[in-house]
Amino acid sequence: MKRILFFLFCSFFSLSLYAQEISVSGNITAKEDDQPLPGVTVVIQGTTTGTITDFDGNYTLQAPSNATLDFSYIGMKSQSVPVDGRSVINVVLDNEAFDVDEVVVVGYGVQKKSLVTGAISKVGGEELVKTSDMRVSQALQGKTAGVVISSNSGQPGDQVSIRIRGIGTNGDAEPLYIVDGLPMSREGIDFLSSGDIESIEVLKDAASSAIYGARGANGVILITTKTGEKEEKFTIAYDGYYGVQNPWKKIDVLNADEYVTLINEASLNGNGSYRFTPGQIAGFTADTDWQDQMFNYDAPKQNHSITMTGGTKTTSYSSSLSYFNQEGIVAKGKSDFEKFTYRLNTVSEFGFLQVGSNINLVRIISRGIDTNSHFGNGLAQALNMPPIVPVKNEDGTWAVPEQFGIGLQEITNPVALLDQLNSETKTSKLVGGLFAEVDFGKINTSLNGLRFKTTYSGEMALVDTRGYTPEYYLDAMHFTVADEARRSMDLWSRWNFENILTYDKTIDEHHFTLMAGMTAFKDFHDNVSGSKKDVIFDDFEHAYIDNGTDPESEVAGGGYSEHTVSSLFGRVNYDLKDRYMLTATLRRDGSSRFGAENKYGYFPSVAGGWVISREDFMSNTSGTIDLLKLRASWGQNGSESIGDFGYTSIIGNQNIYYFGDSKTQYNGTQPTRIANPSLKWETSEQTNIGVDLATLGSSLRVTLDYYSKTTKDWLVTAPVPMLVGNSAPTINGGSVRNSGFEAEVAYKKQFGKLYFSASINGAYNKNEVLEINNAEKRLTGGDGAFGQGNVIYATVGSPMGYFNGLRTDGIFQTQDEINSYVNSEGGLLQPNAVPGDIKFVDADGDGAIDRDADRVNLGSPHPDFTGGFNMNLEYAGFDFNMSVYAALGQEVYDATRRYDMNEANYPATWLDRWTGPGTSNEFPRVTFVDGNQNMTTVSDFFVQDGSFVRLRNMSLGYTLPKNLTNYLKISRIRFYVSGENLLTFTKYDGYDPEIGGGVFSNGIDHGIYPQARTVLGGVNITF
Amino acid sequence: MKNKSIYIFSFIALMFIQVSCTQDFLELEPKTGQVEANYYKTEDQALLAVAAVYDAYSVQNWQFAPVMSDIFSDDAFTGGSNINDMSQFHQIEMFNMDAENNAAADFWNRCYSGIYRANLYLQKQDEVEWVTDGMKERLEGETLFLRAYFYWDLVRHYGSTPLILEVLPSVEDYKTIAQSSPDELFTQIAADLLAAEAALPTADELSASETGRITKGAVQALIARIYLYHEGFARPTMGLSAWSNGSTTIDKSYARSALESIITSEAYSLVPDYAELFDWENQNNEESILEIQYSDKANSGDWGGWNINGNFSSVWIGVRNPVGDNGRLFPGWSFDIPTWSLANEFEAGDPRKDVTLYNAEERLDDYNRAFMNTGYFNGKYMALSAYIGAGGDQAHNFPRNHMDIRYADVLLMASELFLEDNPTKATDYLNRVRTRAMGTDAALSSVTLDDIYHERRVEFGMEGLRKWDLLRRGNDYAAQMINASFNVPGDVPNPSHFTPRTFKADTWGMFPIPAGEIRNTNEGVLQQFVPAYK
Repeated sequence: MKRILFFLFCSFFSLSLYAQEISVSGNITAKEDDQPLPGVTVVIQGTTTGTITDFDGNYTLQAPSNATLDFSYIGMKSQSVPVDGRSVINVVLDNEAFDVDEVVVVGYGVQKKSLVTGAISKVGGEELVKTSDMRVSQALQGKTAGVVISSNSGQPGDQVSIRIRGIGTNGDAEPLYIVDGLPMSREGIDFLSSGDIESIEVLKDAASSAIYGARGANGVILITTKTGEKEEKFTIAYDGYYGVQNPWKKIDVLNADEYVTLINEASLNGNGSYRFTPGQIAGFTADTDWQDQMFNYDAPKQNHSITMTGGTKTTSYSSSLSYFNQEGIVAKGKSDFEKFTYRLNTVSEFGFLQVGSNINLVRIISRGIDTNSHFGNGLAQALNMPPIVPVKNEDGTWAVPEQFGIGLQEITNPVALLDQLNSETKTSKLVGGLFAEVDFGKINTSLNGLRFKTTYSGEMALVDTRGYTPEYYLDAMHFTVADEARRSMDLWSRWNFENILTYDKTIDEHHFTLMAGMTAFKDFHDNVSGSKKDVIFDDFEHAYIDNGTDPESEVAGGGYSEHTVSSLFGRVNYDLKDRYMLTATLRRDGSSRFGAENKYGYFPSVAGGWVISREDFMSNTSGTIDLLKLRASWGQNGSESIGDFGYTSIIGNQNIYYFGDSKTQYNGTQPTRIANPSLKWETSEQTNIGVDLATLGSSLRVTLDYYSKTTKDWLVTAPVPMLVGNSAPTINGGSVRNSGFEAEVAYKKQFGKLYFSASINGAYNKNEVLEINNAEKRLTGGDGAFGQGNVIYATVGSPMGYFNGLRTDGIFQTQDEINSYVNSEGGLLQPNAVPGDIKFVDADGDGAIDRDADRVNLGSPHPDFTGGFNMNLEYAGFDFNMSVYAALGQEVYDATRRYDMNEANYPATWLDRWTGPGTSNEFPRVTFVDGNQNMTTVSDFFVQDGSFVRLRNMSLGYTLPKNLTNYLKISRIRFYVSGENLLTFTKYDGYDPEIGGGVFSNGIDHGIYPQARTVLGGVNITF
Repeated sequence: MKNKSIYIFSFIALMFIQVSCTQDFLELEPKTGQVEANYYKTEDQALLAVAAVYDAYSVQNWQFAPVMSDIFSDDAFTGGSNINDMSQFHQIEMFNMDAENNAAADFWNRCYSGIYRANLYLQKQDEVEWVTDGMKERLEGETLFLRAYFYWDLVRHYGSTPLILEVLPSVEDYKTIAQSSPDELFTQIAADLLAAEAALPTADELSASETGRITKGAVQALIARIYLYHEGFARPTMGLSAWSNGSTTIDKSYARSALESIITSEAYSLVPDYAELFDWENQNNEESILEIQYSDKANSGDWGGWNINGNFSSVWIGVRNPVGDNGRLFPGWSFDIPTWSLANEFEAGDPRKDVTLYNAEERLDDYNRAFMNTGYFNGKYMALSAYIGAGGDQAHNFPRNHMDIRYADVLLMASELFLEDNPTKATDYLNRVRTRAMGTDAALSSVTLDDIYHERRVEFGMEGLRKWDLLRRGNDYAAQMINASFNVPGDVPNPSHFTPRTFKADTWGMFPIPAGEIRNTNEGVLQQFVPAYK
């Protein structure tokens, strides 16, 4: 590989042509207002050599006298101007069109958008800033086609799930994140603020992501952070906002009267006796709204950041300091997130050498509660708590259901539970890197176009969690006998070393870019944890392990893991006359996660493009069609997110037994699972065909893509017979195909003083499992309502993860209906049913209701269609933005009520229950004795339409006029108000239809911590 | 200028060369834990590998074997919070288990986990560098005993299951193993037990640090217990041949001499005070022959159930929210509720009643009367506040051993086996047990099988033996006793909790083969064996 590349480089050196270099300078102005434009990129065409205009719109650079200069600026139409020996070239840029020659970041390089052959979506930093109150990954929602982003919960600091072009694996389906060249996890990118981002590129097709080889199968998200510009005036900007957040919806549950009525009715239906006597009922004085007790109304959220940028002739810098603080809308004081960040980017040039560094220091303090669980301390508690229980007793102690003789096991007074919760996580993080880039052309002109860049970057995050459990007694399930101090520390660290050699060459009408590189990567995870009971202080402030006094209660743990990847890769880009493009890549990856049999994987890709609009025969359409490009690509990728040492078997030591009079502990040993030495990465293969069109003077841009992506060799922990006697090995045993269409249409136009831009995007994805290589031919997972296991299935021919359960056919109204629901032999299909019970469908027609065999597909938690609409209007200093996101065709599994507990509260929808013939054909009778298993059977009773359209963000801003700001000695000041999640249209009656998660937890609602509705006001000031 | 380029190119070349020599960089060894290939080399490792086999014997998961047996019998109701709470146990109670029943699956899983660990150890033991004389033979004997125990659990719960005696090369190989007949399983059990009997030391040969290890006495007692089940139930019901390992037949005389050997060894004796027998401070006492060891030392446990190292069932069978009795009881979940039928079995003045049945109505000021409440709780094994573990989740860390076989059982089994041929001996053995509890005045002058059954029921109440006693006296007897146990006294406040049940003889007291197991093996390889589940 190495030799071939060197040979290629050498062959190109000999072809180098020489031209005289001259100094070119000029001034760039905007057509709209004749004002000078700072920050315009000036690049010598066919090279990466260039400069940026200064604050007064001036530039100077050395260029060959026969070169062509490309002038580009975000939001303006680019221009290419031949030098023709001139030393002064002034350019007027028109801002009313899309820039067809915008530069996009591709893996290990940049490319002009018009020459890109893959499917890459770009979101500019300026688009993210408008939704600056959201997390970076969340702000991407609805911005690009085919990227489905769903929040796992509304808890401050919680993660989002990102799926690019559907789910391609049963395992970790998150894309690879690369921040300024450093591969990171999705948790890793939380140090970034939207304001720090220059651009985000989403590599969707395999040809674009194949350069990331064994790590690119789920797509790649490239994040480039802002740097200063050379010779840029020093500026300080302040951005800040303050807002309040509220829940946008409360679930209607029974009040005290309704509760008593339904519970008595259920008891009567079950046991034939009343649960609460009139005497008891008379004694109930409370009617508690437990949701109100849990919600933190008007929870504040604020952000303040100061950014400083500037540059000298040789050095540019950008630094920012920011503070963010958000309280959660649930559990005041127990669910919040606070973040301080400092970052500094510098780039300096010393002749042929450019060096740069960036450093980020981050401190995060967070507290959290359970976000989607029917155990623990989340909202599920509030939904299930009987309203007849007050928050506190008259003597000031916590009231619990048990005092009312109500046994609810894990469910108890949620306010009291939160009061016992004391836990705080402090994360200290350092992310940074250094690079040096050599421009050989500046050493020797015969090496023009040859560059070498070496980058070393790393991350270190110390996650320190401290907790305290007081001594308390609430009820038989919720108590401690001694207080306890806990601590755990995790150190996550990684480094990445990367070397890239590129050679850029134009020979007549042929333009080549060759790239070869290597990377090596290692990550580490260290952790220690400990706890001790009987703490000498009974508060969180003093909850340090040394204050624990019970030596027998000491618990300590700790471990270490590491993971390495080493890779070689190369790419050839070729284009002829800017019309015909060809790109080919090859990457070889080695990973510590693979056994000796499969240490290395090879990942190729090839892509072609044809800019039809530049053909001579299209010359008569110039003016109507500004760009028409066809693209096609094919490539292979891998995923090594398969866990460490999956190929081998490690001896575990948790099979504990005791011998001896004093019961000495023996940590018995056995292999933790069956080994599979032939385990290898998952492979995804994708074909993409796309069209890019720009028309109406480049004010309308359309991108269409069709793709078909097959992921095979997924890792399946095949359900093996229990006869094996140990955990199943992980095998490569399944494949899934995602195919679909994506469309992005964007329009930008200046109408006099009104500037208008809008974009709409949509994606349709079809997901079909092609193969599951286990005896069952299916994968199962996901807990539904308590006691309902495996509500999500993946089977061949169906989507990757769908709700699987019994179909219901209304409610038995009479005993006659039950008696006539018989099989061919006259046997009752539901012998245990009584009128008011659910009628289940015998889907396999075998004459019996079988809770396994009769399960059918009840819908998928994954949307068929996702789309976004974004709009921006500017007029006389006012700006208006809105962003809408739609996800259609998915279902939600409502598992919020604890049906295993008779006396749990009901959603108010149960008021329409069956109470006699003709009363309801939807809700069964309520009963303590559910002989028909109405509520323990996984069925469509629990499945609801989860489609939604959401107004993600809407904001209105006003920028003070220039003459006023000049008077104030400020260059720009903008005030704005903004709202998030102002409107949601959905049929789902739970808190939130947006329930992200893994393949087997997505879309199951256990009382999800909902997204907040936020209203805030802010200011941007640039000095 | 040229030189500069050369330097830089050399640097770049080095980068790439470095990458091509990265084999070591990618060859990581786990830093926590050892890989299988380097293990099973030292005697310490052998001891730990065998400890893992014992661990499988102690695993309760959520399917507590003695509790499941008692719920099946006339001694206990499921209880819990309501009918949906542990519905797999309600299915056992109502004789309507389906093949998706978790209890059936988890119990199967536990047995085969133990068999895997045993087989793996037996395969690896020759790689060990032994330093202690006799250690290899002893560990092999313990492992064989435990493997026999797992197969015995399988044969009495499923009838016919695959017989696996080694770790197979590929998981695919397990999918084609046909079920062995009950005869074949019993033969293997006999072979393993007879080998263990020959290899293991007697109880008095154990050092204080070896308490809890399998002894010759434990093997002999288990042989007698299995013989009684085999002869009384398995042979007539499934039409089996006499029990043997192929050469030695374990017949009545073999079982009798096994028991006599225990009795005459004088390695065991009855604890003088029946109440002290169940004192948590008196575990592994002189009466203990085979005892499952639980401790709070690991401070561990998860709610999935597989990694619990204390006695989880203690909490499971405790009283819900007890108030009174000086706070002696640790709150539990009120499963495994003793029946009135069991309470009525005790003779007036038998002190065993108050030890066996904790009368919550009398002894507590208040408690949460949940599903199928009778007012009685399992007094022998319920969780006590004084023994809350120091760390981890309290529910998972009760240091309460379970007495699997005790000397009183040896005496009563011997009494039963000598009943026809040597009534005097039978009477003597029974009286030793009876008078220990009730005093010498209570001694019987002669005994009948009914006397022995009565004595067994009151002596071993809530210890998980009753089901097997009922079955080996025949289906009619079992049906009569079990059906009667749902006769609810007229004045109970919760009659609707007790749906009458009818013993189904064609269940053979067994579980269905788990449906998941049938799905995960090749089609047609595994089939339901018990008539009720076909």
